[in-house]
This record gives sequence, C-alpha cells and structure tokens, in this order.
Amino acid sequence: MSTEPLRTPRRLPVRMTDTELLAALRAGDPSAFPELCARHEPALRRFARSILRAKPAVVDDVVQESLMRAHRALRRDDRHIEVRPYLFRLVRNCCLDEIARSRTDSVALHLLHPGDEPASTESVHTLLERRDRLTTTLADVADLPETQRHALLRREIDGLTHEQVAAELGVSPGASRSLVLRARDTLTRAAAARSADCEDVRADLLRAHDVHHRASVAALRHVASCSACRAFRTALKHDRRSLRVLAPPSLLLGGALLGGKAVGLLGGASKPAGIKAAAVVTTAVLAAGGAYEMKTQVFGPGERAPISAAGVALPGGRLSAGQPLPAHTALVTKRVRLPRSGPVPPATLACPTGMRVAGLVPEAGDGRSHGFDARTIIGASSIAGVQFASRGPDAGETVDVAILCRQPDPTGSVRAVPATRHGAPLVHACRQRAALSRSARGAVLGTVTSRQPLAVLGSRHGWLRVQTDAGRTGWVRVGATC
Amino acid sequence: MAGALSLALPGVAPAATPKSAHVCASRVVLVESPGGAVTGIVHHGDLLFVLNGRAHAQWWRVATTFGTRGWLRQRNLCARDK
Repeated sequence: MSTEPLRTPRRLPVRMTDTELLAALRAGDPSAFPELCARHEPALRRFARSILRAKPAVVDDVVQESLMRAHRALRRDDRHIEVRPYLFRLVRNCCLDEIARSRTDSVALHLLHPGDEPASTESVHTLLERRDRLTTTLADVADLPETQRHALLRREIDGLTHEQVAAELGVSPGASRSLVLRARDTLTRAAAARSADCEDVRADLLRAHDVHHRASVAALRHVASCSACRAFRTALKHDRRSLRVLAPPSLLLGGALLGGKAVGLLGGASKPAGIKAAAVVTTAVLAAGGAYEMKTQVFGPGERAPISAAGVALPGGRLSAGQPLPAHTALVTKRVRLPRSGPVPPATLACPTGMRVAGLVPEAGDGRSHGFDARTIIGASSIAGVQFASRGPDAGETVDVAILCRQPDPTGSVRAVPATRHGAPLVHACRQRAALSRSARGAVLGTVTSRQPLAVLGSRHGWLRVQTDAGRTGWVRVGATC
Repeated sequence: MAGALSLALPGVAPAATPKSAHVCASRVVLVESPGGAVTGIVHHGDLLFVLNGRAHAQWWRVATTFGTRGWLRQRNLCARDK
C-alpha cells in the first residue's frame, strides 16, 4: 500500500478539471490526488451512507478504502478515465463487498438514527419494509459472483453497452450478455425464494429430511432469509439427533438401508418431475415403549391411484383404484403403526410443492376413526395433521391414511369444479374459519375457510351475501372477510 | 346453542339439543362444511360433541374426542345427553 498521504491542506492555485488533475497525478504531482479527494469525498460519503444505512459506523472506512484503491488504480496506466463516475463505482463496489463480508438478516433498531425517521407521509412500517427490501436486494447483489455482479452493475446502473462491458472483463459481447442474464436470473430466484410460502418450504424441508437429502435450492434460499423456517429446519435436525439416541446402532443402520432401498425401487423414472423427488418417503422411527413406522407415498397427476378415493377435489367426486389421477391433483398415503397403549401420536402428510390439502380420503383408515387436526385448513394448508381415535371397532395397530392434494385454481379453490359465480367480486375469510349463516345474524349453516373464494352477491348492515365455491349461498360478517 | 329446541334424533323423544351424541351409522364422514371436503371419518359408537346444531337442521357441526371438527348429517347421530 502506498504510504503517500491521501490529503494535504495545500490546494492547487488554479481550479483544474478532474481530467487535468488526473494527468497531474500521473505526472507525479503529489497535490493532485488530495485535490480530487477534497472535491468528491463528501458526495462519495453520502453515497456510501445511502447504501450502508444499516452500518453507518463503517462508512468512513469504506470510503477510505475506495480512495486508496483509486489512488493505486488511477496511476496504473494512461487510459482515459472519467474520474467522478469511476470513484462512485469504486465506492459502490466497496460497499457491496462490505455487505457481503458481514451479512445480517435485518437492521437492528438501535442502529436507526434520528435522521432515518420516516417522513410525515410514510409510516414507520412502510419505511422499514422499504429499507428491508433495499437491504436484501443489495445483499443479493453482493452475493453474486464477481463477474456477474460487475457485468450487471455496469450494464444496468452505468448504462454501458455489452461491447464496453465485454472489453472491461476481457470476454466476448455474447458472454457479457450471458453474465447479465444469469445475474438477473439469480436475483429473481433469490427474491422468489424469499417470498415463497413458508408452508411450501417446510413441506419441502420435511420431504428432504425424511429421505436424508438436501432440500431444494429454492427452499434453502428461503431458509437463509426466514428465521422461522430456519428454526423449523434446526428443530428437524435436533429431532433426528434426539431419536438416534433411543435406537440401537444396528436398527438405525437397518432402517437407513431399508429406506434407501425403497426410495430406489419406488422412486421410478415414470414419475413426473415435480413429484419424483417426493415420490416415496420411508422412515423408521423408533420410540421408547414401542415402535411405530411411517411410510409415505405420493402419487402425482397421471399416476394410477392405489386406492379408490372420493372428494370434491376429484372431477365427478370419485376415483376408482387404478385410474389415473387427474391434472393438478395428488394422492398422498401414509402407513402408520400406532402404539399398543398410551396416547396416539398424530401423523403428518405433506402435499407436493404448490398443492394444498383438499380433503381426507375416507376409503383409507382401516376402520379406525381419524381426521384432520384444527390447524389443517382445506385449501390453505400444504401439510395435513391427522389424528386418530385411541381405539375403535376393527381398529388395527397399523393404519393407512390418505389425503387428496390439489393445486388451487386462480381463485384459490381446490375443488375440481368450483361453482363460484363468474364476474362477482371475490373475498375470503380473514381467519382460518368463519361461519356461513342462513341470513344476517341467522342460523349457522356452514363453515368457510381462509383461502376459499367467496363471490359477493350483495350486502346489508355489515353482512355480505356470498356464494361459496361449493355453490352454497349464505351470509358472512363483513368484518370476517378480506 | 339454544337448549330449548326440540330434539329430533332417531328413537329419542324431542327434548333439547344434546351436547354430545353417538354415531349411529357404521361409518360417517365429517366434512369441512356441508357439500365440502372430507375432514374426518367416524364409526358406529364414537362419541361426538355437538358444537352447532339446531334440532331440525339437517347438518350439525361436531367435534370428535380426538380433536377433529366437521359437519355431518344429523340423522347419523343418536342422542346421549338429553
């Protein structure tokens, strides 16, 4: 590193342009660079502060680092450089380096300065949301590979042509285009992963956990930015470690081998790509006081149903065993070995990514009464919790349960043939469930769920007259709808 | 739920809407809402708690002893509490 001082109190007698100062610097004039710094440093500091809002303490260091890099680079050769834009680019890159070096998930509240308070027209919530978006976008840009980042910023921010970007990077213009496209794609995927539905991500994590595989890249991207899903993943790992303590090593090895074999045999190439990864999940879970084994199979669209099924998610309401499952529909089955005594643990069945729970298959169950827990919402949940009666007529120790999953249509309905009236404005329940009444303040005649589309037919005194996707009409409180 | 409504369960004299009832049919499905998706399956003899049921209504909302809630046709229930 150069030991020359970056600034001196002496100023050049005549106001020179940046280009003239650059020439003087290259000619060996020691006062030229301090003059450039004095001229641009305040603006560079403001610029760095706007990027590093969450870390104001490092702004001075970052600007100083940028100026040191500029000092070295400007003297390196004689090519023409527009000094001011060049310095801003350097500061921007140093800021991004700093963000990449020490990423944080959020802006700590104690770092908010009085000057950062929102304007009168903007709520604190809006400001923090905007700042959070900016922070995450910058972090995504900072995480890009160096060449992609350079190509994207020079093209998008500095407006260079691909030929100019290519000349800087020493690649062809086609390669420059490719770098920019890849960078945009990476940023889009990162944003999509962040905004992904936590239930979908957790279903993905559960499936990956069961087969001892890594979760999908999209799920892992989401986990990196979602503390709740990160905690969920940590809990999954912790559960496995805890259960391992209860099992003799030989049994665990056997279970792992059995699981791996089943995956190999049953995860065949005929399965659709979206379903294949989750086709078969076999896990041997050993619990103290009696073992229960869980086996999950997912049958995707076009695959033959292993059992007959009935439900509103199926066209005609029924599907015979052996018939192919219709489009956008999956059947998930699970074999549960219940304990001989004591409380019966619930089973968890996860729908394929993008699908929602569309109903229990009544044909399964092996004579034991069972059903969804209260957290499982038809059309909204992607994971179903199934509870069992402690005993029942003809109840065996092993129970096969099955659920139907379906990709919601654009209105949010998981019915095969939604009956919602076309053209009417749609609302849905704000809460998980709301009552559907015969008339305003009248008797309750049904339940509507949080993602179920409700066509508004009229309103009166704080009540809406609606038609559900099942075709039933009734009244719901205005306050219960969104 | 109004307790003064008459009871309309099979084989039981009308008195009041019961707070709990038994399943009379061999197998009954519970649905999220009448005409909606299946949420559970109960069998003959199972005890159900009635959450919402008018005496002459066709559909009642019930909860099972294991926690599942749903609607079923009233004709599939036999009174337990009078």
